[in-house]
Amino acid sequence: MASFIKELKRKKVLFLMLLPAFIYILIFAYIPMAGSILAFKDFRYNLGIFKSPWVWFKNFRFFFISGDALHVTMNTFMYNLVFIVVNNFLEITFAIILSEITGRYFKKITQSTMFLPYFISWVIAGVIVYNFFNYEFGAFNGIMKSLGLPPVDVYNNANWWRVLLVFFSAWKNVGYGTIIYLSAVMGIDHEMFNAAEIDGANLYQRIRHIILPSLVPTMVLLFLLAVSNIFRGDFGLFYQLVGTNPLVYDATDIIDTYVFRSLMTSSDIGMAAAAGFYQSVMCFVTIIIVNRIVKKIQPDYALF
Amino acid sequence: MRINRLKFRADIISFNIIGYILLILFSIVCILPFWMIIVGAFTSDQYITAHGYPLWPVEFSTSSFEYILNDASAILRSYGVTIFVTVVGTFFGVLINAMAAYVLQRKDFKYRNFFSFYFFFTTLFSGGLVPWYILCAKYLNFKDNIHALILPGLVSVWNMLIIKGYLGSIPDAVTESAYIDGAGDFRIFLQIILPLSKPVIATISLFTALNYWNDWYNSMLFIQNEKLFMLQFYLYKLIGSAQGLKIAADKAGIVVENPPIQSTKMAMTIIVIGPIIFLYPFVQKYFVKGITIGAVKG
Amino acid sequence: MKKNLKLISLILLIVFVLSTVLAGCGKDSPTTSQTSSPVKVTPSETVEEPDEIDISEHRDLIMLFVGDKVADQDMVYEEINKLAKEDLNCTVTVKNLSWADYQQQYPLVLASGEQLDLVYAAEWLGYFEQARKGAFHEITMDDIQKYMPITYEEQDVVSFEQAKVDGKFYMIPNYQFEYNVYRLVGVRMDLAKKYGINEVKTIEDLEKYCEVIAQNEKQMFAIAHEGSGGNDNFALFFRQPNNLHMVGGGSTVFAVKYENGEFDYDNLYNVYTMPEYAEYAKMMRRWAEKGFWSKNAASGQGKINDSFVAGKSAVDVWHVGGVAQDIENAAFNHPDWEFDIIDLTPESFKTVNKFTNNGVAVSINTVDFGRSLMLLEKFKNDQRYFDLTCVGIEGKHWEDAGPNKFRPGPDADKYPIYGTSMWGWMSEKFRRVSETEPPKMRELINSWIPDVVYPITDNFIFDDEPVKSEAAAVANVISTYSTIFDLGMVEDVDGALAEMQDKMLKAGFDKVEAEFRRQYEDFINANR
Repeated sequence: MASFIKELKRKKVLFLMLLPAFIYILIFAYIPMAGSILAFKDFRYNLGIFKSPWVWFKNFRFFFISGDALHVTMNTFMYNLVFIVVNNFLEITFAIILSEITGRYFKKITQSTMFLPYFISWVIAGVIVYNFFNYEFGAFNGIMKSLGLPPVDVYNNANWWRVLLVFFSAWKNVGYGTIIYLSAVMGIDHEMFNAAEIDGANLYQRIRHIILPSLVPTMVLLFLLAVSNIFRGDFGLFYQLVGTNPLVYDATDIIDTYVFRSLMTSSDIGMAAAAGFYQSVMCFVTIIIVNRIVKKIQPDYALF
Repeated sequence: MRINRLKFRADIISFNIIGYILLILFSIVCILPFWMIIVGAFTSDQYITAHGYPLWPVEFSTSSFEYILNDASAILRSYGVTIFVTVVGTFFGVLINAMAAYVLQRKDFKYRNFFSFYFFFTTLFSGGLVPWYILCAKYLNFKDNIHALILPGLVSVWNMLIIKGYLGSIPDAVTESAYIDGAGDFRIFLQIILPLSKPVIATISLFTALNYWNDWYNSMLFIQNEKLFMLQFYLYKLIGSAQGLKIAADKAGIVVENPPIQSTKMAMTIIVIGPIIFLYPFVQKYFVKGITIGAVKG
Repeated sequence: MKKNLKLISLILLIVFVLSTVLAGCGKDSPTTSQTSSPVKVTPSETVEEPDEIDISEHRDLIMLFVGDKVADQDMVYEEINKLAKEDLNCTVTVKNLSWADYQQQYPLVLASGEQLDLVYAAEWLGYFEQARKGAFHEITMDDIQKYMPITYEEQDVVSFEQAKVDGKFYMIPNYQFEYNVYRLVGVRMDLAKKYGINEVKTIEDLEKYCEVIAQNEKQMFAIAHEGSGGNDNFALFFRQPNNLHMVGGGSTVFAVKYENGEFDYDNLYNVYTMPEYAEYAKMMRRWAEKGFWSKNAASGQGKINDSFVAGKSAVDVWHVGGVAQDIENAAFNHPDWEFDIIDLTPESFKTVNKFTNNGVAVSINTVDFGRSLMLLEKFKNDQRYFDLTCVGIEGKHWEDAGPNKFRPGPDADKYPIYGTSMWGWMSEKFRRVSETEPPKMRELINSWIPDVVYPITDNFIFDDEPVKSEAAAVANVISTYSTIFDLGMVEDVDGALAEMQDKMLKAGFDKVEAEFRRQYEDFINANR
């Protein structure tokens, strides 16, 4: 404690600069965190969070007794993992292309268009996708028919969804992520490029030996941040695009949609909190392990 | 030397060809749905219900825009609220995040690890919606208050860590030499670090602004007074009413007349995106390659 | 790392203590003073002054509505407040929950502890669950007698009985006779004539009709189910032909049968194990294969009836009021089309909706319980209030077209008729119907009235508290599979049915069933 006060005195300004964020997080994140105990309570409206009776792990049972828990947890994890890999790969590719390509206006225009999907809510996206892929009148089957191919029942086919979900996740998020990598490319010390040029390195060599290595810290950071949410699914993506189609639940059910369906009729506050708590714990354990591994390999890249 | 130059050209040309193809492909994928939205907005509702959204304009109609702009003053006011919230929120949000990020990456700051964890931990665990809502609604006076729209998105740990990651690439020597010159911590941050981190500050400003612009949830939770509605909330009300009425009609048999919704959704999407789409080209000018750290040092 | 964890746990501990203290402070605020237990609310205050109700203190009440604010809502409630200020020395502020997220927000607002007086409540919104968990103020017959004398005189006690949770009730149900659980069809008769079909009277007729449409009208669906259409199939093609009545509320699987003019309360069926259900599921499969509706009906984004109105489907399956409205709308745009409303199962018993389908409760966080009920009494039984809230301002939103009739006014679209949560105080007494309503609808309803039955099981609500984990898990299985069967999505119906049984057992259906049957038997024995 004494050393803390000493540090506080020595680095007064730094502490002051940290203070707004510190207080904000205390109020908006840590105080409500006490409400996590809802997961262990039988919430009663007239008693409030703290006085409602404890039921301990009873709220968690609904999720586990049906035997689907493992399956939807794995789905959530696998989809997110694929999203992380595919999206980051595309983001890095596009960031490098955008930084090295010639044609100023072309760059500007494509960069702006890549951002468009970010503004389209999943609900609207769902409408468009249905319009495109529905069996009878969709544009997709229209094209198939005009090519003389048999129509495809995309909506009832789990394999199609495995691909489409990855595709649409990239569609919506890659424009956003590209910018982070682009700003990282911009941050590379220019002297290194000059040096490379003098050494006679070609463009591909420059990308391999200068740009990619300088992107590693950003990659690791984004990877760690994504991993810390790996058990939380993008509800809108899954719910609005796939809809409530039981035939493909095996392939498309994630924790968030599963819980939504289970609690739709009862809207039990304690059980909803329990599901959220389960996701938090899973994420926590995962990130602790992953962060430790990263720390072993390269301490500077670890989150904490 | 000559051979060398030719070699350069070959790789640049091949890179450009691949790059153009990939970018054009991806841009088409991004533009196509947007194109359908625009066409849909200008198509009559009857046509859409009967035949789906067209790929090419048929039965041109502006009735959806007329329907929305029926109450043009509300939309205009909502633009005002949204712009105000976005500007104020982005300014303070980025400032607070950047300051914290700077402190967290200072290697001589003894407790940086602890504080990093303090912030990061909240992305893993949260109290959930109910406790947060009770806190905001009951104790922090969020009801019908403009700060209900600004505060919830102000500090983002994710953004903070991105900035921190970027600042980590600036050599410590920059800070140290400034120290020797007698500059204080805040001045170093403001006059040396911030200018050096323009690309990431621009990026995070953009993200924060987009988040504010896209926010409808806080309007829904806390705002009853339509003078304080954010733009996106109008869109969500429109979409939600179709879905909600469907459920209500199903469960309670409540029959409510509803407005032309199909094309209106699309028209509203266009109105909501509005000017924010021009923010990006504006931010782009800060993505200048070759910020030369050495130059600052010397 | 360890150090970090220690520090974080220290912070958590401090926060926990802090917020407990905060919560403690909150308890002293006036809004929660009377909330310690909803069970013990006694009419002690009423005993002291039986005659005069003290309304000398002005109150601003807050009323919670489900659904977005309509354009002229503020204007209408300004008028209401003028009246209420004079009559009851109170005003009311409406708080709207957006349709965009009401399912999540409704419990959230109830849980927040902020002031809330009148609350739109309904079985489909989870009234029983919320009442059981202490969200609402108990209402007794004495309260009604004291604060709502006309309601006390006029409203059938049956309606309050239906609202009972463990012997007490917490809402004033609406008092109208709705035939919304009963499904029938609206049919495009011009198309029938085109293909030489003279009449559609039975389900078999309908199948033939749909077949013709599916084969000949390539741009149409016979029945345009989208998203949620499955429920309608279940009701019209399974429940009604088999004379079954669902029991217990929520996503129940149990039903009783109506035979020889009475309900057989002794036999409780699990509908999913009945051979009739398998037959029904196979019939739906056959219909799906014939292309009566889209292969992707379950994923559809549109609304069931929109397609019918737009002429994209030939059959509209809904309740009588809904079908009538769809026909009205379709005929408005296409006067050359011909329609008929057809009751395909005329032999099936007719019942009215449970009154708890819509109602008004008083929140536990009310500032004035008595005044809330008095205002509700005005909404229900003072025609000025009723007309204002239901159809809007006369001459602006509607015009008088004779007793219990209206004609849309110039600004009708700014205050849609019956477009807000005033459903909670609907009553047969003042309800106005549209002048242009299809006559067939009244005809049908009038023919049903003499034979309407009131199953006592409508008063039985299953309390799933002892088995709530299992109930939630089972609900998930049911919602998954029922859609599959209702929309004929799998080829091997028997196999899928067996799979469903298996999954339900795994989810703990045995326990749910045992508990359900126990509660049901207790109820039947007590109410026979």
